[in-house]
Amino acid sequence: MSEPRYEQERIRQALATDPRVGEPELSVDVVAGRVLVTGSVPSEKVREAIGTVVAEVAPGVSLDNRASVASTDEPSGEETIT
Amino acid sequence: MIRLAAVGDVHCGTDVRAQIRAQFATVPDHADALLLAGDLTRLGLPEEAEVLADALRDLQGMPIAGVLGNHDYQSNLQDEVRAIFASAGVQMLEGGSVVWEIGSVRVAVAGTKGFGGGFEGAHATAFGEPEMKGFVEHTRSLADRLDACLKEMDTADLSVLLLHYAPVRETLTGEPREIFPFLGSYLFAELADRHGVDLVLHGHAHRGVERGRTPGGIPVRNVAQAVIQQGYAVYTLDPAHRGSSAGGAAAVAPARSE
Repeated sequence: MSEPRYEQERIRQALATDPRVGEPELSVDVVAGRVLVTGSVPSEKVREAIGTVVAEVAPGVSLDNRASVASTDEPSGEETIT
Repeated sequence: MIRLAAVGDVHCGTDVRAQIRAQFATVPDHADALLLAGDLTRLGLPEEAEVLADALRDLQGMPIAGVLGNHDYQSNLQDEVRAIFASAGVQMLEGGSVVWEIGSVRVAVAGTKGFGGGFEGAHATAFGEPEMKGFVEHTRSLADRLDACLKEMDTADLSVLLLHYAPVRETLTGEPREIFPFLGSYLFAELADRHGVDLVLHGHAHRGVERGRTPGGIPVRNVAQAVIQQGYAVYTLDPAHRGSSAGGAAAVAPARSE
């Protein structure tokens, strides 16, 4: 891997602008030589695309993809605004 | 008493049709109206908007209002996207407002996408390069338009300000401070305080927190789906309790539709 901080930002930019992902809100960190991606995505398909995009932008890096699909569960309660 | 369902940052794509339909199908069981706080689509594509619009069409008769977010501008097709939601019965707000009669309560919702700049004490200034002036002036122009709209809202029993970008720092807790200027602007909190709205809703800050207040004490809720971790949040508001949180919500302004 090249200078980790530049690589980290290159990956983050790609995950924001590549239409297969398109999620600028994802976090990208380099931890112990591995690229760690965290944050929320709208579907499993987008989550899987993270791996594809990272492999293209940074071939050979080890990816720890911890992005999760946002919950769409029915609310369990409500809040009274005061 | 009214119940408002609210969610932002749905990031709807064409691969989630069944999921989206299920997500919104239960709204009538929980709420009287639905507010959508922007980033309704992932890439701002009409085919993505159609997926969510179809789910919203199923909520026949429910009052729905929405604003666009930055994702909805990504493909430069925001006008088409906006029109698709409008065709599904969503009151799309960009410096405008709508008034609903819900039971005996007149509820006004004013909305705008909002934009960045930062927060009081460190807001960007319209100084220097044209690009910097343009950045700040975009935010100011949206705030000015909203101000004019809020001034006209004076007959409602309850009023809500609907944004995509954040109006306060507090709900950004957890986001990197370096990007705060790109996450919101205090100008919209100032408007909420000046006009005494009852609730401010926004999205955009996925790593933020749900609850905050304006400097004047008005409740702010970040309803980004990644934050609330459910299909939508539900808030109840009672006109009898107006102003109890903000030191006297002033006369709310009459609404106008865009």
